[in-house]
Amino acid sequence: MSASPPRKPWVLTRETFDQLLVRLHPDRDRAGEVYELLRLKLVEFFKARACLAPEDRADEVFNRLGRRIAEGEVIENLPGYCYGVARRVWLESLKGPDARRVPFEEPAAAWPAPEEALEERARLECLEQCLRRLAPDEVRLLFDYCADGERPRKEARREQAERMRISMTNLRLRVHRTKLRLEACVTECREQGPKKLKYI
Amino acid sequence: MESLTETDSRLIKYLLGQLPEADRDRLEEQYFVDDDLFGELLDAEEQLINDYVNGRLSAAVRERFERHFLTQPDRRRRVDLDRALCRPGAGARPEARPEPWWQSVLAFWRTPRLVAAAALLAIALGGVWAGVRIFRLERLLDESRAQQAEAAARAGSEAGLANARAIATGPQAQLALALAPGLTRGAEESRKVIVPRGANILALTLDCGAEAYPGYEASLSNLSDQGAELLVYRRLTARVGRAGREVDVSLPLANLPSADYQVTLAGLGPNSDPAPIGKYYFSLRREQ
Repeated sequence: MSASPPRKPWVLTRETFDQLLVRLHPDRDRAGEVYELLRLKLVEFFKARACLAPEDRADEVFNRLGRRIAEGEVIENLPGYCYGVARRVWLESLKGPDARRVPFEEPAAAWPAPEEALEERARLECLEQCLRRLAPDEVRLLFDYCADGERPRKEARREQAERMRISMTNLRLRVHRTKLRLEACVTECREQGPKKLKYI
Repeated sequence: MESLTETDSRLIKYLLGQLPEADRDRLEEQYFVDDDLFGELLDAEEQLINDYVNGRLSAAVRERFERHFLTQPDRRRRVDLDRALCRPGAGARPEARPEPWWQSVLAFWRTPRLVAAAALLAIALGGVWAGVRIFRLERLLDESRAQQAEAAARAGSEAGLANARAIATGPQAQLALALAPGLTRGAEESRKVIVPRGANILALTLDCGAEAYPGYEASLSNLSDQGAELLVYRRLTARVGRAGREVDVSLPLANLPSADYQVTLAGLGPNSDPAPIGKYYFSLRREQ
């Protein structure tokens, strides 16, 4: 029996992605939100299972989903189907590098104190710069979302969603999206190194 | 922590990796089809992070959180972000950190009396720095509370930012020095650092060669004191700089006397001993 040639990885095309969006919701804007929420669920799933690169795994699920759709498969319960695919991707990952994964980083509590103070300062400086790049309503969204007042947090967030006239799910998505952008900005800022005030 | 419902408790156990496998599978299957439940999971995660950064977790939960939840790099980034964004001004932990600057901004927006004072301060500040930001601040102020007079609020938030910046960064003067390995101890090219009064940080940029490691470890030794090891920095990462791959190390100058120093850099792999990369030398002298 001759060995079959290695399969070329299937990648989601624009056309298939559009088909996927249509399956998620007839309204394109709403479909975008459903897609984003589903992707977030996938990322959480892979994080909870300690997978490396959870974002990439989530994209792999969408690749496979797109492939099924392109092949004409009828999928009734798309989120449930996604869960099934995610489990398969996770099981496959157990045969890969994830299975031999040993936590590399020490817990945060073990960070050396002198550096932590400096890191904290640098982080704050980067955060300040990055917050200034956000739109004002995004800054307010974040502040209000994490306001730790006397009322229970859930109640405060429900009020925030009502004030913004959006659903709680939509509020969480907006916050998540904004935090992701902020995190990316802070990471980029930190990688560029400390601001050098004087060279010798 | 706020009082927990049964669902909250289940979600937190899930996040901490403490749910039995069958329960974990069932929960995941549920949240994939139930957006509200998934929303509760996100809320539970936010709450857990918030309780962690504010020191409200029990020792056992805190340890579990650090050993399980924080093993994901993006979760650590999220914790860092929330630590800065969501920490209340009056810290619950004894080692309270400075109030974030944006809390000052919000406080200014919400306090009419301070707004008036801030307006005066903003006028006094003037300058390009204020001018550059005025557009963004005007937009920010559109979102501020309706009870504040628009003009006063605009000036107030501007001054608030100036005040807050000082709180966030504090007074510091930083020196920077780029070092390459291979400059031997006592060589003529050995780098000298003259530390002026008031400088409190020496930012070293170490050329760490072409080979990449997931992490780096640097130690600082005082060669003028029989090579005594003063500081060890773990969890360092490299970035790509102008001269290639570089590692940044920030040294607190307050504790470093005039002396000759050696930094030893090693690469760290997930399952291996530190791999020596190089030694870097510099002399530090205090300005008289």
